[in-house]
Amino acid sequence: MEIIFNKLTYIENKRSAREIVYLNDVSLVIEQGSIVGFLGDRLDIIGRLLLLLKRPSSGEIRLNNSIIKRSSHVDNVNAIRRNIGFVYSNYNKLFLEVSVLKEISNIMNNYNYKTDNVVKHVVQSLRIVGLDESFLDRDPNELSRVEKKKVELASVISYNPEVLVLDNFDIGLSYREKEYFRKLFLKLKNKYNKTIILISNNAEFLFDIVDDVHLIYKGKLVLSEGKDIFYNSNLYKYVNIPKIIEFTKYVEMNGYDIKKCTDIKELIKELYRNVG
Amino acid sequence: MSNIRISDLKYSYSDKCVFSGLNFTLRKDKTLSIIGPSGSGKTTLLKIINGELPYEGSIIVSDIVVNSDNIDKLRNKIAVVYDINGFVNELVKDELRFSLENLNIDPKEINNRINEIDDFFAIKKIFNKPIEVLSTNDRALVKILSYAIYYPEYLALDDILLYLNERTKILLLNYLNYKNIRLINVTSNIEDTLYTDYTLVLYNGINAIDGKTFDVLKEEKILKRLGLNLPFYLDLSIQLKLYGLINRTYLNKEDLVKRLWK
Repeated sequence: MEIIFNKLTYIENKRSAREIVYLNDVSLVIEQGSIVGFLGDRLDIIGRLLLLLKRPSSGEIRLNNSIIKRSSHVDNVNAIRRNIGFVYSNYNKLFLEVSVLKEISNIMNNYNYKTDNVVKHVVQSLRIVGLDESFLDRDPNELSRVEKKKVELASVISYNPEVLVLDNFDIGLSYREKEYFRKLFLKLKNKYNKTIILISNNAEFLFDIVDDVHLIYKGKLVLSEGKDIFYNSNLYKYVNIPKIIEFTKYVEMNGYDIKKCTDIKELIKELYRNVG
Repeated sequence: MSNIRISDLKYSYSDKCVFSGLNFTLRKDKTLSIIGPSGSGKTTLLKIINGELPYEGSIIVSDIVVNSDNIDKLRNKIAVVYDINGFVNELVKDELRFSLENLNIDPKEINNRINEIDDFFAIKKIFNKPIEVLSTNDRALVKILSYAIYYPEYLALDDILLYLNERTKILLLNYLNYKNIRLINVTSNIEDTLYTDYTLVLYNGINAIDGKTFDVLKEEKILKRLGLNLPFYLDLSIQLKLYGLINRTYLNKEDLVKRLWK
C-alpha cells in the first residue's frame, strides 16, 4: 500500500520546557514496494502513528482508503494494523510467552493468520531471519539482544504484513548479519513487493539498498532524495559518512577522478584501472 | 593497580553453555575492545565482570576478586553502561550529580567535576534541560558521563559509542584518557577497535583471538570466518597489496591516497 504523509506533525508537551518535536509539517510519499530510509532521532514515532497507537497532532496520514487524523474516526483499524509490521528497538522488551514457538504462534493468532501447519510456518519465519528450528523451544527472554531482535522480526514476518517498519534494526548486528539483512530486505521488496521502512542513524546500513531517504532533524524534513543522497555532502552534517564514500570524496578532493563504487571489490577494480 | 585477569571462566544458563573456560588478561592501564558474532557472550561477559552473575573460575579486577561479597569495592573499579535509557532524574545536571551525591562526595568536588565536563564537552547549555528532550547523541553522552564522573578505573560500554557522532566520540575518548579511565568497549563496529590498545574476540565460549588490536586485526581470515570485517582502510589496503598496487597496509585515507597517486 502507498503511504502518504500530508503536513504530518507530532509534538509532545507542546509549548512547555519539555516540548519534544518528533515530526513538524512533514509531507512525503512512500511508494508500495520500495525501501525507504528515515534518518534521524525518535522516528519510531512513524511506526506508532501507522499502527494508530498515537494520533498526529495535526496533518494526516493516508493509507489505501483510510485517512488518519488527530481525531477522525478510522473504521478498519484492525485491517491497517494487520498490514503494518513494526519492530521497535528495545533491549528490555519482555516477551509474554515462554518459548519462541508459542510467542510467534500467539502473534499469528492475534493477527488471525491461518495455516495448516503452525510449527512449519514458524520454522519458515525463523529461517527467513537467519535462525533455525533449534530456537523453537528456547525462552525468548533468555536470548541474546540480537537474537531477540531476529525473533521479533520473524514474528512480524509470520503474519505477512505488506509494510515492515524497522526501528534501528542494524544496531548490534555483526558485519555478516548486516549484509544478510540488507540482502533480505532487497529480496522482500523485489520478490514480494513489500514496502520496507528502515529507521536508522547509520547511513552505511542504508547505502545502496534504499530507493529514497528522508532526513529528519528536529522534526523537520531537511533532505528528501533518491539513492544519490549519499553523494550529497549536506547529508553528512547530520550522520556519519559511509567509509567508501568518504574515500571516494577524499580522492576527488585531491584532484583525482574515480568512479562511484558501492562496494569494496568494485572500488579495488576501479583503483586498479586508475593507478595500476 | 588496574588490570583484569580472567582465569578458566565457565558460565552457562538453562543448558546453554556461554563460556567454557575463557582465559584472558588485560595488562595494566590498557584499553580493550570486545568483539564477536551475536550471541557470543559479549554482554554476558560484561555482566560477569561487573559482578552481576554467578560464575565458575576466577576473575580479578584491579586486585578485587569479583564475587557477591566484594560488590561495594568493585563499584569503584568498574562501571558498565548497557543502554542509553533508564535515567533516574529529570534534569541533566541532577543525573550527573546523582551518583556523586550518593557516594557522599564533597559538593565542591562535585562542582569541579561538572565544570570540567563542561570544559571538555561545552554542554552547559543542556545542564538545565530535561533528559527526555535531548537528541540521541546528547542523551548517550549524558548517560556515559553519569558513570564516568565517579572516575571508575574501567568504564565498560555495551555498544554505546554508535549513538555518538564522530566529534562527540573523539571528545569522550580524550576525556576518558585524561581522567585515566580505561575504556572497555563492546562493539559491533570494527572501526572502533582502532581506538583501544587490545582486542578480545569471543566465539563459541572461548577467546577466538586476543592481543594487541593491530595483531588481532592481522588475523583477517579468522575474523572473516566469524562474520566480522576489518576496518575499511585496512581491508582496502590489504587487498590492494595483493594486487601489487602498494606494499604495506594503511589505516587512514590520507596515507593511502598519497601512496596510490604518488
